[in-house]
Amino acid sequence: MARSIVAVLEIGTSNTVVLIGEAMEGGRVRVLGKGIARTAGVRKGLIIEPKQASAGLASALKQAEDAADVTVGEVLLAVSGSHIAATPGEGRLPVRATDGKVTRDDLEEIRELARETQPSGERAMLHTIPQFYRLDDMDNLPNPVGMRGKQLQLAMLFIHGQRARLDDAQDLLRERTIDMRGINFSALAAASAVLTPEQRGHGVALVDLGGGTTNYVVYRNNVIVSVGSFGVGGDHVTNDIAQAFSLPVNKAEELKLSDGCAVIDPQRSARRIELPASVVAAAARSISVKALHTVIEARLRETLGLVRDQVGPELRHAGAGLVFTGGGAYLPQLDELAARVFGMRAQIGEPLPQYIENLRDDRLRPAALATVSGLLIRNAQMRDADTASGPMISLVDKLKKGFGR
Amino acid sequence: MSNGVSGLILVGVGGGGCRMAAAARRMYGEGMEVLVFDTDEVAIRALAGLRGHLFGATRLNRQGAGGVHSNGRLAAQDDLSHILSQLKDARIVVLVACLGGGTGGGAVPVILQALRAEGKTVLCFATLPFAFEGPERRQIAERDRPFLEQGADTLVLAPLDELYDGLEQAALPEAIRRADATLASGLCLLWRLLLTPGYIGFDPAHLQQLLSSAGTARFGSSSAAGADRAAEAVVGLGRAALLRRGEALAGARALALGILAGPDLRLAEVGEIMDRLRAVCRKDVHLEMGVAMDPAFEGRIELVALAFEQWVPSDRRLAAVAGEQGSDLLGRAEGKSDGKLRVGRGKFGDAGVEKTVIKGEDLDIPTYQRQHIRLDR
Repeated sequence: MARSIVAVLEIGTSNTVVLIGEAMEGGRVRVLGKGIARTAGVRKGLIIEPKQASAGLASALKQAEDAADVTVGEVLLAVSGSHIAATPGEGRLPVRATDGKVTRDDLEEIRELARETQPSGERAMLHTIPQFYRLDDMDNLPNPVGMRGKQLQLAMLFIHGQRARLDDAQDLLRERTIDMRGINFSALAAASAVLTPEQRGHGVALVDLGGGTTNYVVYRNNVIVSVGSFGVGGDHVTNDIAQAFSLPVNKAEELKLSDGCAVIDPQRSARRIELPASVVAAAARSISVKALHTVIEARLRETLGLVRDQVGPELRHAGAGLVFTGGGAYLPQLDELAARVFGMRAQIGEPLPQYIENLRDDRLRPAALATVSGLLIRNAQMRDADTASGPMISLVDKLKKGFGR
Repeated sequence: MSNGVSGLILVGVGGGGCRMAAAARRMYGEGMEVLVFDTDEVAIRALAGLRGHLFGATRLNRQGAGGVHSNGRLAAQDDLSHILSQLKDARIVVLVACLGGGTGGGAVPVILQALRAEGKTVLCFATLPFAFEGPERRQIAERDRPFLEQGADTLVLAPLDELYDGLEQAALPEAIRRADATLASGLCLLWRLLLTPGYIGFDPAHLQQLLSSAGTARFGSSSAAGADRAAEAVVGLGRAALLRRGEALAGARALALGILAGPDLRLAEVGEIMDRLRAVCRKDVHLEMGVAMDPAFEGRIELVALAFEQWVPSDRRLAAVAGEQGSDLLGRAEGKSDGKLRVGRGKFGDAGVEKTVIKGEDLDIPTYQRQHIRLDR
């Protein structure tokens, strides 16, 4: 039996990551190769310098291909950024069966009708998500087949992005003659790797704290009810530190990682951090830990507040709390700040071993790999669906020996 | 080892890099700290008077990398701790190498990455191979380039075709000598600028601020004497091959300009230089300049320029930095930082980056500034 090998790519603001994996029994996926490179030329999730972004892609791709010993011909891509938006759509259909019962054909038809309401033009569709059915006065029905009624309605959620921004990413792949299997919104991908069915059922808000963007997705009763992305991320925290203490950005990043905290830590607030003499400061100096934590807390409190305000009342249904992914998830005491902002408990979301194996990497911690992990899982599922429905459309995993480019 | 106070050191890696570093040292004389690293023992010995270090000796039998890229990389990995130990006192490393070959191209990405991890500020000058060396060498160089961009704070690329521009008819040894001298003279000027006390500050702090934000840059220098020396120096800079004969100046997003002159330099001449440069640069160019005085430069003006291709600084951020350090960009005294509001978008001031504005607030400006949070410093 042919191996089912898939590849995925995330060109993040901080890192470009390529994963190559193999679909296993039971829907799991095993990572065969990882490629991680520092990204340049990307700000807030958007490619602003294609040549620099391409260099990161080349490096990550080579690492992953060498490790997996395959040549990538096709990838599933993750995107984020403020151009990503979600809009609701709706379909309405009279129930036509003589017995008044909703049929599977009705569902097919109403989905098509709902899809006609999707945005077009400069917007490219990423996900079309059926949310709830309504049959006369019965709301929030997951599956009304067999139920009696007169008027069927379907609420849809369309997640879409600006076509030009998505084309920028596609151009990078085209340069390398790599096909794009599809594009997924990053937070949705991350959810596929870190959330359990129980969490989705109870309601949960996943917040992905990336380098250039913050992305979120909220589930209620297993259904996606809210998604969003805005161009504020870990880079803003770093930039705030750099400006507050007149540090170069790389030094500010180091300080964030070594001494950062999401809230003012009373245990450490009286301390000072010694900065040795450098080209920036002719003499050694020190900065207050309290001041550092104040700068970080101000930014994160605002960022989380934006998520809270954008999601709105749906958060009340997130009984399973908050799950943080992305590199920012590991900032100490983020859970405490989240409790103050959302009034909810929070946890770090790492890819679950029942979904993905062989992921561990010394360079990036697991929650920072949530998006690519989820992508890999989703791509493997798509491959399974393709295989089940007919022959594979394109061969993506040419073994190097014999087929090498 | 490095210049004690400045922590500045010039490092040559590989055959071409060592040769260029040696040329700069010869031209500058005492006071320029230079270290050279190569895999070829014979080549190191030929650089008399320089502190040379052999690396990869076990692997390569002291005979060089033979133009094999992976040999250079593995040799650097073998002896990385030795290389780093020689540079442990340095704060700013100016590294010179030639891409496309074995030792320089293979070892430099490894060394840069390690230096960056140690917190050094690295300005890397790398030459790209001649076109006549064939596409393969160019491809190898281009493959290394992203690693250099990632490893160095600022990468200055000098295509050899441009460095040797106009020397096609010269005898080969003379052409090499003169091309090396072009880069060497620029490095010497940079050194003098940074190490000579000046009236208008171009101190390492400003240089570092530029380097750490930069990416890729072009580099060039010029010299002029006589009554019209200010104007001629600018014209000379515009003709510098490595600045693409003015193209790099015209397109630069930021420009660091050093003026070296004797005590006879007149204020009007500084004004003329700046006016003439502004006339050829983009309107929104961020211009940092410094002046260093040295009696040895009596009668002439020398200019050295780093033209940054991608970087657009936020002037507000730089003002904030200058304020923190107690002086503005012209070295005028200003009060120390007091936690008062200074508004700036920092790295998000770059052109091409869309502002993040939500509910009318520019979220690229630090939150603590917008919310008037006073920092307990």
